Amino acid sequence: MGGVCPVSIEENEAALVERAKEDPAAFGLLYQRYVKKIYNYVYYRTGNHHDAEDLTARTFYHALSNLDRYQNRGVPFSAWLYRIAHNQVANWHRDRSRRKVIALDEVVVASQRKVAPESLIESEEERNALLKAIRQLPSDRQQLLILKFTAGLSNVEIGRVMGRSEGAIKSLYHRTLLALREKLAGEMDGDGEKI
Amino acid sequence: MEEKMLREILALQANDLNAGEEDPQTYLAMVSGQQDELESLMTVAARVKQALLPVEPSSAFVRSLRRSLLAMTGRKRSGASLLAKRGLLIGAAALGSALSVAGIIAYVVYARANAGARTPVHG
Repeated sequence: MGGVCPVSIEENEAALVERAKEDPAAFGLLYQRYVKKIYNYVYYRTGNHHDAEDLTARTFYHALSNLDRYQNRGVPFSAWLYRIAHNQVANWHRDRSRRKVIALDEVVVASQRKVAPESLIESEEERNALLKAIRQLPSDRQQLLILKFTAGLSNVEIGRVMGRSEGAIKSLYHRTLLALREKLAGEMDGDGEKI
Repeated sequence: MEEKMLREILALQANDLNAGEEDPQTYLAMVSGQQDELESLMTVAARVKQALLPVEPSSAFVRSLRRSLLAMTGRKRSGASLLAKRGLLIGAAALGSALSVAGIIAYVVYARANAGARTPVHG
């Protein structure tokens, strides 16, 4: 956080959000602050850039349309925005399951453009296998991992997005790692491939 | 007790991973009987962190969405002022109608009162 107190960030943000209700430039600042974060969240929930762009746009349109009604009642603007994104993703998954499109692993392989160079640390094959395993987890566990490791949110902040306590988030994280370990071990037993 | 300890350590390790400061040995030294369990879970966490690398949206997309959001705020504001004007008009019309109705009622009451006063009393 660069030595800045998170509380003062929240206070500044609350003022900015109030201003954004009247001032388009203030909404522009909020947009700049969150567009990449929301995009990353949606990208890892959908697995492709095309839908990530579509759902990121929908998230911000929805936020702008409903900004007048937003009030910080223990849910900071960022958490509110992630909730909107989460709902957009949930609708997307529901529509997609009705239409029964594409296999997830195909999407993961097809979507490897524009990833930071550090990704070369691990082979693409291993990474894709791990992403595939993550996408097979229940929705709340995927959400937790992405908010924790991509958005870099603390357990308290994740709790605000997901409507759970800090303790519940820690517990869910533990169970998620256990499930993922089991899934990865199962894959190793299944086809001899190291994940 | 041990499970709670594991949960706390895994939460701390996740913070370290996000900060790019990994030191698993410190955490492994904190547990006595569950070192293998903790180590394997910390390895899974580190791999997840590596897999979920930040991705960059295209700058064309970011610019274009910004433009259309700003255009939308403009429409929203002009729509709001139109609504306010319409509201004012409707309010004025309603007030005018209410005054007219009140005027008619007052006239009827006044006319009846006058008519009553002019009626001759037959004795």
